[in-house]
Amino acid sequence: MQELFAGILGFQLGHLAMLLIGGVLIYLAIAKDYEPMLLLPIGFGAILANIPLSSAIGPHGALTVLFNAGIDTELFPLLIFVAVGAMIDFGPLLQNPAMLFFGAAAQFGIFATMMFAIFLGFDLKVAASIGIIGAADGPTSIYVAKRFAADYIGPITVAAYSYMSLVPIIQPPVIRALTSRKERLIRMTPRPATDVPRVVRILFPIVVTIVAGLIAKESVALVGFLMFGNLIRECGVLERLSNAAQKELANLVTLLLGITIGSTMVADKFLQPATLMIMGMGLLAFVFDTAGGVLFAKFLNIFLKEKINPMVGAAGISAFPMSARVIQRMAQKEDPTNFVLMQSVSANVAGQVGSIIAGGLILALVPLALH
Amino acid sequence: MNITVFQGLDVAWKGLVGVFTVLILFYILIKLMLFAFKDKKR
Repeated sequence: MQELFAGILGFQLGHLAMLLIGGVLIYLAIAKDYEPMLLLPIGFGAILANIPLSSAIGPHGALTVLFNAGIDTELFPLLIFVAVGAMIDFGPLLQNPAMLFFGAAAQFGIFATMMFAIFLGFDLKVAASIGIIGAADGPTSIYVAKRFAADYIGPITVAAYSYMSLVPIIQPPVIRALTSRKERLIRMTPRPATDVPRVVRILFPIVVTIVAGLIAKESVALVGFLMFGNLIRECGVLERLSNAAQKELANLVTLLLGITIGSTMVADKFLQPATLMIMGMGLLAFVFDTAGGVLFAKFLNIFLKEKINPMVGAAGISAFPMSARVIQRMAQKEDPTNFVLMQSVSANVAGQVGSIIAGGLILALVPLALH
Repeated sequence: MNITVFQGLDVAWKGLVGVFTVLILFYILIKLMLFAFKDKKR
């Protein structure tokens, strides 16, 4: 009889807190539409993992099996990259490659937050994993956290996806604080919409993979899977595979990834001061990213005759296409006839390239520094 | 300052310079590809 009530007898405050956190994530996903595809499965995964004596986790638990098969092997984030690669149109970036520099500048938040985490007492590996929240790229955050800070993979993932969905709230005040109205009114000459030759679209993912791999071998899987997905999209002869990657693969892996990450959020690991610190630093990472992009654009404007609207720099983060939309909305709020969407989209796509390169470099540099 | 701070600074500056270097390289490569294939139709 006691066995029948073992779950109730084993119920502790920590379990209750985690069930509530799972519930909040589900609420945010449904009611607020915050990254519902990820936050809902994560929230439900957290509930499954925090019912006392849950059969979903443990040596034979289905979620543990999924974790070992998909997260421990790094397979799920990499498969997500194939799907994301198939969804990305690098055309705007290829038309306007100078925007790549904003994709680099907006990675500033990763490194600034990493230093902040070190000052708060985290070791280098954990600090780097916290900093990578600033990549504004969920799969990269999961990939790096799994390598360097497996115990914190839950909070890091939740922070990464939550703040990605909060970009329209986080970025505008930072941009307004760093720019004058005059700067926000800067008009950028639209480039003529030239078609990018098909051969360039096909060569781009191949060349990027080889070059990135030669510089940081740790980035081969990260960059390679993303670019493989993009090659499927651009080659023009694999429409079925491209569609499958964009739809079936993306949906299936997202579903499994979310619920599996949720299962790592067990009370004794999640309910720690470190979790709150990670959530706080994740927010800081997005603020630093935005500031890095804006300040870099302002720096370039010192030398440029044809000025750049510094808000475009903030679109250099990986949260696509939300960040580009936020910048366009802000530009039109200042002047309804000002269109910076094309430039913002280019910077936003550059941010996607920049974030995986930054992830690859972190994977390469941290072990070297510790050596 | 403890050793982790120096290790962090080492990763941070190399990382930031690294990201810029790689993306500058991509910029050059894209420009080269666009130049080489400018007459090819989509």
